[in-house]
Amino acid sequence: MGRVRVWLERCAHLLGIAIIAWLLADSLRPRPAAGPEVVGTGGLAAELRRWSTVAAPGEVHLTVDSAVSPAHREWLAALAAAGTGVSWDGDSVPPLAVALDPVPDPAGGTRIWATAPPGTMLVLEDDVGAIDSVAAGGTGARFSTGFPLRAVRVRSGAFVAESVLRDSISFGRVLVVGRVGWESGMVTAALEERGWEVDARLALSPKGDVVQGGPLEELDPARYSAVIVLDSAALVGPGRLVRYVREGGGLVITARAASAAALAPLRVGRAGRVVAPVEPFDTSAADPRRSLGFTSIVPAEDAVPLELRGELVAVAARRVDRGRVVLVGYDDTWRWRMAGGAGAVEAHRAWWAALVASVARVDHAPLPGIADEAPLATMVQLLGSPSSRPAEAAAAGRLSRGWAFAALAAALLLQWLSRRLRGAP
Amino acid sequence: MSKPFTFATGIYASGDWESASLVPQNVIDVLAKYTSLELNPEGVNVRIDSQELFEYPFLFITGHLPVFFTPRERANLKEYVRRGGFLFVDDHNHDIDGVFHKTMTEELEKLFGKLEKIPNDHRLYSAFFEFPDGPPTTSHELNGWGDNLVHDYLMGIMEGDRIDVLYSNKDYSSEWHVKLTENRDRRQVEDPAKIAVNIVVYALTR
Amino acid sequence: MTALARVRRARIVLLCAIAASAVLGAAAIGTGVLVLASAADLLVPLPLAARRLVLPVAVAATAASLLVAGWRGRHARSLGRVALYLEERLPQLRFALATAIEPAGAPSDAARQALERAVARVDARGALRPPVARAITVRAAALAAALVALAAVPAGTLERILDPRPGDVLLRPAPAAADAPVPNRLVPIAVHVEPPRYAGREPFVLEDPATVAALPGSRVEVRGRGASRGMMDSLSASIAAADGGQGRDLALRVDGDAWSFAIVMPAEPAILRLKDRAYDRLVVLEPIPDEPPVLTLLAPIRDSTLAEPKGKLDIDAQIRDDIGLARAELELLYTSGGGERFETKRMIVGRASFRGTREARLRAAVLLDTMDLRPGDVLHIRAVAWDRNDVTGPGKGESETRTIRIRDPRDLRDVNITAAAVAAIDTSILSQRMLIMRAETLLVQKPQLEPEDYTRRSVRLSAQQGALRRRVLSIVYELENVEGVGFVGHTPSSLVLREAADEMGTAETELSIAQVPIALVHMRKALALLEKIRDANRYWIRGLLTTTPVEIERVRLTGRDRANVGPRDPRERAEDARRELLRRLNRAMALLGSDAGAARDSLQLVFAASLTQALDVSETLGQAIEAMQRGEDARPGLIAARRRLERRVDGEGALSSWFGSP
Repeated sequence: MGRVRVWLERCAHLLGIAIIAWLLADSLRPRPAAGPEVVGTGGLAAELRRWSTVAAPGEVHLTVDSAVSPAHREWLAALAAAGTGVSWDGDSVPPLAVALDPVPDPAGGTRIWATAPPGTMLVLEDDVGAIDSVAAGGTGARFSTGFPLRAVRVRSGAFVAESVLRDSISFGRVLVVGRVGWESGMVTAALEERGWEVDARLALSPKGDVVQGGPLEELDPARYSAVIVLDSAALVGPGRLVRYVREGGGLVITARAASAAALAPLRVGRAGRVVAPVEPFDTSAADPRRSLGFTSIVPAEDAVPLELRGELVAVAARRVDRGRVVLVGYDDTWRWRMAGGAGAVEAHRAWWAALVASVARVDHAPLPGIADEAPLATMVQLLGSPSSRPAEAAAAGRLSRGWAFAALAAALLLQWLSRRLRGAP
Repeated sequence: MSKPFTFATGIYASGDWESASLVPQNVIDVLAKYTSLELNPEGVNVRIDSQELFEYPFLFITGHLPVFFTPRERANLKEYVRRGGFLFVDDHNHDIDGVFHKTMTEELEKLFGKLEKIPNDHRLYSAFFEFPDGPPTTSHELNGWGDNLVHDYLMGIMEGDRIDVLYSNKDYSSEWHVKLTENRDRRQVEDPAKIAVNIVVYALTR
Repeated sequence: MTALARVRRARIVLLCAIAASAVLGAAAIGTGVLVLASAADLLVPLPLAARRLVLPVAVAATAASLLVAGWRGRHARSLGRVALYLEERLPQLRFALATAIEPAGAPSDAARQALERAVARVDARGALRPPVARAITVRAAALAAALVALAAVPAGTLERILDPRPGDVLLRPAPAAADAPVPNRLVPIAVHVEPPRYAGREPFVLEDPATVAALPGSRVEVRGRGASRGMMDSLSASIAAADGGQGRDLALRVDGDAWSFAIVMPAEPAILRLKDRAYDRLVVLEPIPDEPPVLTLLAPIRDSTLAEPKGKLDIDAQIRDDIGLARAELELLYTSGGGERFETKRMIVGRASFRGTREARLRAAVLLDTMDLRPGDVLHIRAVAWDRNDVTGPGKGESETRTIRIRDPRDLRDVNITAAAVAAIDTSILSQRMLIMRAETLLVQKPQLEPEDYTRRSVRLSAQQGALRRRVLSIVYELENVEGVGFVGHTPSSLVLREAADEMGTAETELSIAQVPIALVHMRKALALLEKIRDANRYWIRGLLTTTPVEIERVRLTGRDRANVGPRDPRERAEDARRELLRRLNRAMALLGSDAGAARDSLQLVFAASLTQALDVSETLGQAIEAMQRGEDARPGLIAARRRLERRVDGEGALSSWFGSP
């Protein structure tokens, strides 16, 4: 037993010497070039100053754990251009992007489009604070505000994408064509109350029609941002309307009016089932348009359904050359304004304004402004694709030396303890 | 498919809302004669304190007796006009000092503010037929049956130039409250029913 | 001097010393409390409620200190304890003193004399001096220090502590500002509000308010200080309407160092703008309207049509006002006539004066027999009351009007009047209620009843329910048919009555098979429908106005007169006051980071405008402004206000392939 113990002590002693020799040899081996300097987003500002002044590292690596400001990104790109190897990683960086558009609406609304992975909670903010939040669907989310915004941010956790308004827009008049009735009266009123300048041609009697605005010489997209056809009774020269749309004009047409054969080139779909209105109007329903009767639409192949009532399409849209056409299946939307719940007047006005805005032809004038609309894409564009963290490789080297030192200490301690316990010096 | 124009007579709790039951027929008749408006062949009577009121954006109110609206009636009428409904009130009394006039104008002014004289060159008088001298006179005014007063203007609650509430002392209710088959003794040059076309067309296109 | 005499003298000295030190100590503590409160008020202005507590606390602390000192010195009354106290300080006495004064201490005279001698040998003079002097000196020094500190407290601050009252913020010393020889004289201010006399409310004072809310006609006096520093030309005040417009300058009064001006609270929100050189301050005047009286006509409870004008008509009105009532009347309009000729008389059938009570009843009775009423006549009854508002009023309130008609059989030509049905419905309701109660009782008694007995009683109820159903159907018949004409159509009421009859039919069937719980559900539904009808009877008793369709296609476009269709006039863009408010709020919020003062002023203007344009936002805004004044973060409140003004932001978790879809 005693011999075995002495033998084991010697083994531990030899192991210790061997480890010391390995460590010595390892330290004497020629070292590879120094690894990159690794920094997180939080320390990037200070490191950038240091890298650009006192230190000049050959290689730097950024671990992106929160939003990188555009200035810092540009700075890193400049370092890369000056010869410093710049790499980055960021597994948790969501591919956020945001765009802000003015709505062709005299009331000055904005539309915000955000892309993000499904399920990402997106918070919309402006300079003052949070405006709204929503979970992203399949491709992202969209917001619309009834008031103008100059700049917005979409935030997901610590990551942010920003957008500023790129264009100011100017628009022309709206032409309403139909019969004298509550629908034409209230749609015209709604658009005028919204701020649109409206011309109207409303059929009334063989003795005369009700008109507003000057004589209708030509349907010119430069004059009319949109045409609303509620009824084809007063439609003079459907060919002019087709030409107007092809040249870039916007058309909102009801299913009732769209059946005219001459308007076939503008057809968004064919009429489907007729759904009767709910009477009396259900003011408690979450969606007030549920109480409206409508002719469902069977959309054409290249048409986009915009609003569904269960399985049926109530509103659909289609591009025709340079113009856009929205087909509205609803009848008597004036009932919504008159008999809907609280805020129905404003909601009806806003809905019609949105319909017009979705087709209206507008002139754009660029605005100055810098934004960070797609931070991840810009990062990739400037610094290349993300790479793995070099810090992990360096850590592996440190880890093996550490283990060797621990083994050395354990071997020597074991030998010393064993000797002391058996009384040896 | 879409709802036609429906002539609605307002039922209110006080007074005699039903005093001119043949008015809807006459107005619908004259509208059909001159226009291609989509028309409901029958008028409806609608309680002004009901939600149903809002399905009819044209409302006719008439009567002889004092009118005192209930709180619900007041609230509904105010909201009705705010949403774009057109209210046409006719004094069946044809009496500037009558109780209907006094109480109804008091109620209307309490709800909507001051009633104003509608200028005789207002679009109301050229919306379909031309009435260059303002509202046409009625047989009551001309034959001395009434109080020998010729009311040469209508009144209204205005928003700018737009009439939201039209108020008449001319007693069109009596004029229009005749059987369609009756051979009326027309002493005047113009058929007073024609102003109904202007009123309805104006209401639909204001 | 005997030992006993020595001890007695020592006791007197000790008692005097205890009393003196207790008084000094208590006075020091009381004064200290005042000093501490004053110091705290100098650092941070103490609220009025806290300052009102200071004096009672000081008195209580003084009393408590006296009591504690007295309690701790209570042993000085005992000779034995005094002797022991002396023994403790003079060990050479070797308990001779304590033994000498003990009544049973010495066994013999010789021993007593020996003790007296032993006591006499020790010089006790001066033994008490150090402790007594120390106790008194320490407390006296504390009192002196407290008094010195109190003397150093500014007089205004001391007054705020000793005599706290609303508006005494002006007594606080102005903060020393090294860079401004004349500090901002707009801070602090006190606003004294005296409600109009008719309201009978107490005056009140607001210190440094952002908003003054009071009844229109209240006297609002704004007081400030610093007038003695000169430059009064640069101090000004003006008032302007909250929705903008030209301001009106207000005259300032100066009294010593104090400046003030007074205005009458306007009926509409307004903004007071105070200026002192470059300093600027806004105060929003928020009138609290005096509401007109609210009247409820308790009798007659509903409109009705009387078959005959007989009997007594009771009129009873309940009147309420938020401030105080002046008078009320019961008004009766009596209209008679027909065709084109109607005559209306107005009568006051009840009248009362009130001396500012907030709640009253007014009753009267009208004998219909004496009114010479004829068929077709109509009575309108209402109550009218006026409040005591002599500033913007008097406010006039009216009750609902009840219409009582006298049945006119001639009206059947056009209108189906079924006055008798009113009573029939009322009776039916009573009967239905009774049936429900019987059915409920039967259900409760079921465990005690034989099954046959239970079934027999249920079947009996079924028969009664059937009889009631037939009665309701007879009313339906009356409503839908006109004598000599026949069926003229359903009325809204007849449809509801039919529904009630259906429910009764189902209940009848269920009762006939002893399914009482199921029957009860339908019986209650029937009762609810009957009650609905009764509440609406002001209309249904007047039945149905028949309409005749026009043959449109026959007459279509047959008119021959010439028309000249005029053009339509465009509408104006709808004014959106909320949008404008939102714009102004956004601008004010954008200033928050850079210029808090300007942001607060802008927010006050937005707040004042919101009082007339967006009341749902004004409370949130007001709270945010108050938070700003307290130095707290106002941003959450402002964001909440902004969200309300924005009305709607649509967010949808999807992208559309159609650019710009609605």
